[in-house]
Amino acid sequence: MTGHDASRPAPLPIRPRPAPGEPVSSYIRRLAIANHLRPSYLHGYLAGPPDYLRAIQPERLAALSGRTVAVLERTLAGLTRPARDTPGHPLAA
Amino acid sequence: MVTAAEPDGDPQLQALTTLACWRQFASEMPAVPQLLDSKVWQGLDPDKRAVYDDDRIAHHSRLLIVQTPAVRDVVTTGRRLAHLNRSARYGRCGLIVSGPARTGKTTAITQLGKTIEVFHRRRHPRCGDDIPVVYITVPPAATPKMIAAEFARFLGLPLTRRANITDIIEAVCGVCTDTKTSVICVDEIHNLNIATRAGAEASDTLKYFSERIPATFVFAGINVERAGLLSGARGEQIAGRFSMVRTGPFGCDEQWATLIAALEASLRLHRHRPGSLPELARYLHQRTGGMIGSLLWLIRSAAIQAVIDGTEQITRKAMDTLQVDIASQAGSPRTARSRDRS
Repeated sequence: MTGHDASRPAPLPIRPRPAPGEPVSSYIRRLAIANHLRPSYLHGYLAGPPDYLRAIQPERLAALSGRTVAVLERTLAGLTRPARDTPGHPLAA
Repeated sequence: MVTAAEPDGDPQLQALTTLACWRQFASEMPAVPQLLDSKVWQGLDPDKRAVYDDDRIAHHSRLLIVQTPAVRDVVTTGRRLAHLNRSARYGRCGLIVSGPARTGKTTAITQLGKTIEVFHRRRHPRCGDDIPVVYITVPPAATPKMIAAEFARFLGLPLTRRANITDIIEAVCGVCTDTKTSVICVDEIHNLNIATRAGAEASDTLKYFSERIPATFVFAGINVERAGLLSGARGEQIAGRFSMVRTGPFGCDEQWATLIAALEASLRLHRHRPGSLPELARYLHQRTGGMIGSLLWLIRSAAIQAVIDGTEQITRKAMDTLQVDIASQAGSPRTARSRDRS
């Protein structure tokens, strides 16, 4: 099979645009409400198992919102990749 | 507007039970390859010949969607009900498509869904995020949560182990209402066994969805009347609100010959003699039991084989070497002959 990544979450059916400078939490809340989901449930899904309360994974938010991580990072305030993905971090690839 | 991620690969291989695949199916107009002139065809270099053959194999793997009487009936009745239900606040009518396996039930309801989707897109060109049609299949031994999860999975709503059924139902109903869903196709409805408690509750969940979402529900399944879905108090309620279209095997008649002629006209083979397939109508009926699913399988297989082995024609001898599905195989003259020989 080419290309299609089954592990990548499907985009949400309703995907409002992120507003420039909007806090991530506010955008997640708007996404959740637009799709009739509880914001805490969507946050937990974006954080992923095993700890649903930790910071969200930007890749998951990008997949669900139908946008790229780069676009979200430029648009939203406070969206940071986990420390291990930061250049210079000992665990970074 | 942001479009949903496009699935890769052959659309024929993609399940229709996700929104991205459904949209791809509903919008696709597969190009029919042109048959090259004999001299041009024989003069192709090997690389170009391979590409040309691949295109024809892909075409033969899907052939055309045949407008059988059942497909026409389902599309017409479904569209009529969708119009009737548009202004109904309760007691909406639905449609059940029932018949044996391989009689074209899934084709009929997906063609209805595609028609509704195309009309909606034409009427509302700026509403790209609308989801006018939902298509799900009922999993075996379905429970209420499994039914709700199938809807959520189609729409792309995230599911985790923490999700409870009430939240899933709320999200599904909310999204379907907001995105103007007007037809919901539920396939493999015979998997719902209302003789069991879980099956009865799953049936209730479907009924609840039909009350909450202002859409026309279309169920398709194998011999739904016999599966018990229309018996008992629950069944009577369904029977009172649903129209039924029955699908079945074709007789060996003029309609069958017309169907075969239509299939033959869509073939792209260099040495196939026009009219030779309708001449084999009786043989094809015996091989397939008059089941359209088996007929399509046999003709598609024979056409692909003809491109691969270079014979470029479908003959009775070539079809004798091909197996159809086990059910049709049992009653075919080919099996009878091999039994006689042994």
